[in-house]
Amino acid sequence: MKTRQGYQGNVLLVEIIVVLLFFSLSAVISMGVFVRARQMTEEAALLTAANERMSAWAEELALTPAAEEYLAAQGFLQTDGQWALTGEQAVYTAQAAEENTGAGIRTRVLLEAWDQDGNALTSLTAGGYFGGEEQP
Amino acid sequence: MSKSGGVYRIGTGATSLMMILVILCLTALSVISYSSARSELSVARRAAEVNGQVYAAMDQGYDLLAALDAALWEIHAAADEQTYAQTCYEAARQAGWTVEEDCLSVEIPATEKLSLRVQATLLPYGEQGARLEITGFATVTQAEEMEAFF
Repeated sequence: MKTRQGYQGNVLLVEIIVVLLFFSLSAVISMGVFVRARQMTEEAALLTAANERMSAWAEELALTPAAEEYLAAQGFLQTDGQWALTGEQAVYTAQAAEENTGAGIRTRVLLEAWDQDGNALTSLTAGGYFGGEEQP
Repeated sequence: MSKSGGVYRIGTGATSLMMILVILCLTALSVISYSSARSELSVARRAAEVNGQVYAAMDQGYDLLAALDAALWEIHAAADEQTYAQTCYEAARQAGWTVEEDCLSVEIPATEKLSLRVQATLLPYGEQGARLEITGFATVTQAEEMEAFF
């Protein structure tokens, strides 16, 4: 015949097992949520950094008539007509075009940022217009 | 051991209470962390989108400036000093620019609440070889426009 103390011990044991099961289940779910939150934070940081970097280049490109020289000075390498720069976490590409309108030079540079898996992060069109000062 | 010599025991239900507390904490922290990360990502995406739209408007602004300057370049070659300014203003109006006194301006919508305002002044015939002076190239919000209007 079981004593009262032995009965209480069994109940406690069952309770601890149930508690551990529930705790494990919630821990697994919470860890999944934490991991996803970390991925999102990293993606946001990457996107913000790429955005800031590309904006800085775009501001400079609006004041620089020689776009390709500027890209080369920033560390871009030209391959097959396209400029590329591999950063720590992102890859930047640029396509530069120059048009002489007769009255001046119009430059246009399409800047794009990609993550390490090749997914597009963001893009923007930079460039400027540099009017000639010579009389027609 | 207690002072009286008794033994401390974990009573039935104490572990359940602790589990509820721990699970509540885990859930609250994970929800806060997830929602914070999500809003951060959404802000970053929106900032990148707006940035792209503003630079697209700037690109359009430079296109308009280039087209106007090319038109003025041709007028400069053909027109004489007396009719130069009037011909230029007419060409600017036809290209979509607003002409107020001697100031040319054009507004390019960038986002729903933001637009790019390009302002230029026509230089006198033959001065310094240039035809236009850019006096403004900045984004304006709708609120600023409303303030200026009233």
